[in-house]
Amino acid sequence: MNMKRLADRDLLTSLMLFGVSALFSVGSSSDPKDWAFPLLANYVTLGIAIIFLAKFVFAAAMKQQPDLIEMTANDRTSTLDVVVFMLVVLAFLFTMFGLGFWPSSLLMLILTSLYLTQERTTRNIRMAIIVPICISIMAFLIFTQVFYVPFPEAGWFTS
Amino acid sequence: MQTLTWSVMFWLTVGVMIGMVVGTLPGLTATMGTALLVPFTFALPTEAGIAMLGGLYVCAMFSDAIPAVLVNTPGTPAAMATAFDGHPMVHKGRGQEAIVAACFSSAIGTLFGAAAYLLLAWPLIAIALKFGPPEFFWLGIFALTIIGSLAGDSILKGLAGGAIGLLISSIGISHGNEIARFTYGVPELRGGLSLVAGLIGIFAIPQVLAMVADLRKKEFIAEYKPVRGQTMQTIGRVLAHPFHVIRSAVIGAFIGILPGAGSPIAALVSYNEAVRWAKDKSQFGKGDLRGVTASEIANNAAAPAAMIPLVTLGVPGSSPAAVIAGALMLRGLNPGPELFQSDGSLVFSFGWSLLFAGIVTFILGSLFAPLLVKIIRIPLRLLAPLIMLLAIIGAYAIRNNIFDVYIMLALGVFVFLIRRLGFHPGPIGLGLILGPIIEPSLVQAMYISDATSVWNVFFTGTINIILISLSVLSLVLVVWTRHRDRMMAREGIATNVSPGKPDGPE
Repeated sequence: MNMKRLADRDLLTSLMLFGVSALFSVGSSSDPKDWAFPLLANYVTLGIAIIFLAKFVFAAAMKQQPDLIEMTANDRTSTLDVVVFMLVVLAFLFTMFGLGFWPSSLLMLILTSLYLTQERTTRNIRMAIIVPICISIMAFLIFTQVFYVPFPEAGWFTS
Repeated sequence: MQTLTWSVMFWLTVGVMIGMVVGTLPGLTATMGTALLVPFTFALPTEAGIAMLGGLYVCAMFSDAIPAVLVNTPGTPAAMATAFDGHPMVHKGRGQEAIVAACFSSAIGTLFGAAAYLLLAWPLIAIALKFGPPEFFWLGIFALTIIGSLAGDSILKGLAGGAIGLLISSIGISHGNEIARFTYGVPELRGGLSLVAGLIGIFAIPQVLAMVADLRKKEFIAEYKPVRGQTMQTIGRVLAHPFHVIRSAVIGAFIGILPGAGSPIAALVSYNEAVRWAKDKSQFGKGDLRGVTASEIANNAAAPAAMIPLVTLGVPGSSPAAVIAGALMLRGLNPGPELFQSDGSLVFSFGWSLLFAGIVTFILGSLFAPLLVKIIRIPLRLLAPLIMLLAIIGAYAIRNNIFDVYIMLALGVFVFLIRRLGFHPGPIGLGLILGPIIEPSLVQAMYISDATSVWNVFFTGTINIILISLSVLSLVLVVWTRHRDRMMAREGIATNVSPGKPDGPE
């Protein structure tokens, strides 16, 4: 079989649905009332996964044109942007317990805004720093002074 | 009879303005806003304090449409259906029209709901009392048929998305014997997923990631040019469909009265009905004004209507109504028939306050609409991190639990990835919202059926039969419409490729 077919949309959909179905595979209980609802939803997921797998197998057997997920050079650049952006967000989730929520938020906003600024003019770089500072101050005032939300505090510098 | 005083109107307007902020920020719900405001209302007379809470509740039901329309992130669960057509309108350069339509529709919905509260409280409650667990189950199933309108190109992927949403909603302690399900030994999952965090994850995070991915192709969400006279033109367009307006308001007011159903289900059922009754369904999900108005009229009509069971029976129809009930009780007033008899003037004053809140919401919303729409002109490089921060704060603030943020991000990345496979986030969000309504009703109805039979509980009774018929009709209509569209598309292709056929008119 052509390896390109592994990027077939129907095959990937089917595999994803099988994965979800396995994740929500039902446990045991003496009373069906505990499981009737997720069981029904899981059967629907499983049934649709089988239909997509059958569609893929049929299309491959009949040598029909596959519906492939293409990855162009632009897509690769976009994916890299998304990955870097998410890595900064994940780093923020880690540092918020060390530096405190608001300093980490400010850092996250500035770093992501700077990374996403393609045209690095002085004005754009200044905006990528000033806007996050203003947003952080406003969000801090609204959520801590008006809505009294207790955010994680700095843990690295306290004994 | 005591009605509105200047003092009541002033504090109500303050409540409306706070509601505007609460609804606009994802993660801050009307329930949270009213709960936070309760201590401040103690310094005010009862009428003014309760009117302030009502004003906040009503306005939050409008302002939740602003992020839903502009950045595809519902401010509260009730605005999910508004995003289906509101955000595509923004991409077509009709952002201001969408906001004004949402605002005007909210005002109509609020006025209708408040009128129902003032005039029809007792007759409506008599019908609502006939709703038991089986009826709620079928109402949830009926709302689920909206998947047909949201599924996009593949109805199977829509169904699978709905099933995934239902499965996610079933994480946590079961409704039957209270056993832990799908918790994988993680204690935080025992309490189930936060609905708001889940919805932010499903809608906001994929949107942010899509913005980051598109950054090199476009600078803003969409182009926008302010249009003079947009408010009056949009009002004209909304009122051009009077039957649609009345139907949405009736659905919203009626579902609002049902305790536990609330504004999200009202908006979803109304949207579903708008699609079902429309002659031209082709634009729904692509930026149809009727999609925005159906959702907004219904979720706003549901807000005042949710007060009807509170003042007539003492049973709150929604979470914010429960907070308002608490505020009344803290003042030594018992919501219910007793309040109606002993303090009738307060009950009617509150009704008039809700009505006035609708008008204030419309005035403020229309004034600020051109300003609000400018959000879409913020460069994506600044907007994407900002929405990410607000999403994180919103998911965290709802329960002060960092685990909700992890879940939100995981769901967001998952939905972002499966969008490439052709899945739409709508059905997943729908499953997540309807799961907590359908499952408890199903389990309770199953307990009732232990004493009689499944047939008697689920398939008899006028309301059950009406809801089952509507669900079947809705499904048949979806299948038929899709079949017809496919045939027409095929005929179109055949016509275009047929040789020798002239292009121009004959």
